[in-house]
Amino acid sequence: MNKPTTLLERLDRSEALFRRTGHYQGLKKLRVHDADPLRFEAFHSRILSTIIAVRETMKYIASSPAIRDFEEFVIGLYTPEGDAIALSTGIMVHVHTLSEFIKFMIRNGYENDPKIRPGDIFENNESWAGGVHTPDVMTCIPVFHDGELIAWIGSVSHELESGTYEGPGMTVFSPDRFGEGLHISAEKVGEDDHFRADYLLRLKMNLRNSNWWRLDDKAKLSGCLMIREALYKIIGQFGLDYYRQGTRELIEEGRRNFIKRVKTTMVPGTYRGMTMPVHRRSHLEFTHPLAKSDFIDLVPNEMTITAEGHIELDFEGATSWSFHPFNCAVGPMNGGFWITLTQLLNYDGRVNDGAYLAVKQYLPEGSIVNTNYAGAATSLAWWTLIPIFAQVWRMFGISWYARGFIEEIIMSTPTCIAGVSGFDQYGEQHGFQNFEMAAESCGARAVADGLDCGSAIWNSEGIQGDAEVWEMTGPNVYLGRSFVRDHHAVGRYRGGVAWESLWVVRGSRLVNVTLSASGAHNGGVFHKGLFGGYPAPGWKCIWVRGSNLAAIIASDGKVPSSINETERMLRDGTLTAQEWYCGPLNTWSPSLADGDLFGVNYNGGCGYGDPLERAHAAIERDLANGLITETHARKVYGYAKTPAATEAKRARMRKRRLAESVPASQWWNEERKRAAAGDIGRIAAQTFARSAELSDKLRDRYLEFWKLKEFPYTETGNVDFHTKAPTGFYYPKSPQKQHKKSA
Amino acid sequence: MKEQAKSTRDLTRALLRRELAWPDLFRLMRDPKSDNRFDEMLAVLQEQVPWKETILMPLGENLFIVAKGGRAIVKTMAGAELCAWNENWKMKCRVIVRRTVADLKKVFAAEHLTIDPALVEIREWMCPASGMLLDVDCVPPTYPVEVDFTPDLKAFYETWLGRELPVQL
Repeated sequence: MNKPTTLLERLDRSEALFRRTGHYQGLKKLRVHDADPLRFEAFHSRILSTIIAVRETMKYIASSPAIRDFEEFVIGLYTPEGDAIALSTGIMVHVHTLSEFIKFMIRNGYENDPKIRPGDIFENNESWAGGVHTPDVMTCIPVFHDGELIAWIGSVSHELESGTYEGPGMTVFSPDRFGEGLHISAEKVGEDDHFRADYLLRLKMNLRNSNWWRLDDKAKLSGCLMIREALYKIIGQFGLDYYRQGTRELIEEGRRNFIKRVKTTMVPGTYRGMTMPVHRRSHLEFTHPLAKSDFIDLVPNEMTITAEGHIELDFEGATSWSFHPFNCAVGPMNGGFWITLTQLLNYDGRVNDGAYLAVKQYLPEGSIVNTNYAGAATSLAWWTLIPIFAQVWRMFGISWYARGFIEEIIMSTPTCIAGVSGFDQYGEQHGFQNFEMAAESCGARAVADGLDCGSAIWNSEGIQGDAEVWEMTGPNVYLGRSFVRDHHAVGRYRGGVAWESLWVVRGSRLVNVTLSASGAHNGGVFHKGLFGGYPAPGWKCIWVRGSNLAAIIASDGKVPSSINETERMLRDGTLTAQEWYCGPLNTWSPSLADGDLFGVNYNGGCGYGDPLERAHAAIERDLANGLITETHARKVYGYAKTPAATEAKRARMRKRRLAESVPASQWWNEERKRAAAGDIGRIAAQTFARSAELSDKLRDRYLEFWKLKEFPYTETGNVDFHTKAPTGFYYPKSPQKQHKKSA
Repeated sequence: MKEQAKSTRDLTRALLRRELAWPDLFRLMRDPKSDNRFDEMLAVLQEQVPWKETILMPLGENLFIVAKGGRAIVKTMAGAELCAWNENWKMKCRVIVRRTVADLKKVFAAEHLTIDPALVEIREWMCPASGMLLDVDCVPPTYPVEVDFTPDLKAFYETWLGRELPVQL
């Protein structure tokens, strides 16, 4: 094989070597590692400590609360071919999305035009180029040594405002990409280590508040430049040949360690799960005609751990993409999978692309997990990704239980969010999403309750942020920020207790809020629990326009401090309003102003094990902390005053379960009539039809399970909208399974 | 509990019984994973169950694949023998299906309940011998019943553990 000269040739060669040998860059032996393991460790430590230290410095350069306060960013080092070598702490989703971005540039001929030169700065938030959604902005620089490109350094920050239709960084209601804000589609945005003036002007013109984005860009560029300088010193110490070989060996070692960890802690086999976020639009007064529908994005998920220790995810049976911003492309799905791997399996110091070489995803083309409409919006791809990969966490837990590593089992976190736009308290045009949900309540573990106020799966560094910071960020003042009693997923170990925030608009004449939740809104559930654990009871939000709050305050009356209290006061007339909504529907408020209210519930993750096995002491601890009422504890946990009385009550409850239940075969016989008729309501029926439109898999399973000849679901409810996948450029693709319906 | 004073099997037993204090649990999470854990866990599970069949693999809290008469079957903690190891054990359970708001209010706090039973059905699968809850599904109405896990027992025992699988599949 001739020595490759271009980046494209190098990338092709690297992939060919992996296909042929099964080893990254064909490395059957780890030469520099084996020659001196301690030196190899020192080499890795120098790289990793540099990257992590630089990330800490970047926080003090950045502008937005997204980076300064809840740390929604990451920085990392990549090979010339775009493979991740080492990453900082932070939002790990972007280990691989940055990789896709670099490969997008290489495969689309950027070496020839717009050319890749020393000092260039490239930026991307385009899902067709590996990005997740418009607010996740990637900044990337090439590193040259004696005229040769030897590395890439990339950083990603989440921007709270990205020029969307509604105002906050992620749109909830835009039907397509044309409302999801400013796209930077893998573009050269700077030269000579400086952002171009025309790029900065573009930001100023296309964003409501460009200061956050522009100053965060500068923080990311500074971070990249700091790492570049440090890299030259590391190469000076170890030599360029060592650097080249050592970084490749780090990735191959990462691949081997990943497989070893799978084989040490898991069990080969087939794992099954499903998520079903519910979306509703028909209640909205203003929405695009194409988007005005109610439906379920059903995503069956089969995970195979192969005898070789590889992990494969198959989403065959998923329903189609649609006119909403919850669509996923291959980049977002790879990012979501990556989070799962880094948090659960690849969590030691060697976070690199090696693990990615031992996993595979089958993402059906045209489905919600792999849209093929060029105009599809992915702005809130997270509302699909988070339930899906939380469900994968659950399946990992099944595997660890089977192998005996129950201390590893952990379930994940839904994400609920409030977006605010309009004018801020300084009279400026404004938009942001409040990221306090970064500390949403986790799902249960197998050895402990879920954290009540923990960290998000997608950013283990993430925190709630100080209330005072959020009050400075937007025209909103907290009336309440507290746990919600009796609101958690029950189980032997319960999910984290929900918490909620209630705000009053303060200092603004015009505010619109968007309120939504991943998986749990619109009457849906996040996903099922483990081994008898339940999901949480559901999500809700509130907005109140034209209230008498000012009069209540003036008369020294009781000010509401929670969503349910506000609703009670509205119903009993203590609090009056011109209009209000409190409930589970994702919502875009009418124009609110000074003194109006809005609030959001932060739903917790799922429960673990039969609730009747919950420790008596754990129930009493929750009672003492005010997290559960005695009434609810009696109902769901069989609680009585003493352990013996509790056990006696539980024995009676188990008997009652047996009396109330029926044999599954009896239920099947009765339910089969409904399954044959398809008499399940329009939304659920259309969900099955939409799955069958793309794939026979779920349809076949349905017919087999119910022993039917005819699938009763034919009406999809889809609008007559046909389009082609993007053409004219390379973009990340997914392998396809054969079960797909033939044309 | 001082780890040094305990054998690893004692540690595994304490883990299964949820008797470990947080520092011990935390250490267990951080330490390299023991190659013996699977065998130790099977041994302590075997101490705990009220029957004699050899456990081949736990499928979940209170649910096991066990060897019986040279075959692998699914058995509950309370002793109900449900089906062959790779069949749909849920269809041998008893079930409560919650598909109205009134049904859901029996297991959720009424003031917080927003799950829409027209879209999401809660199916509670329980051991026919004890009434112990084995799994809870949340699915659209008429969604086919599936088990969450079918292990590749042969690959696991023979390729990963390097030993003979003591049953015929």
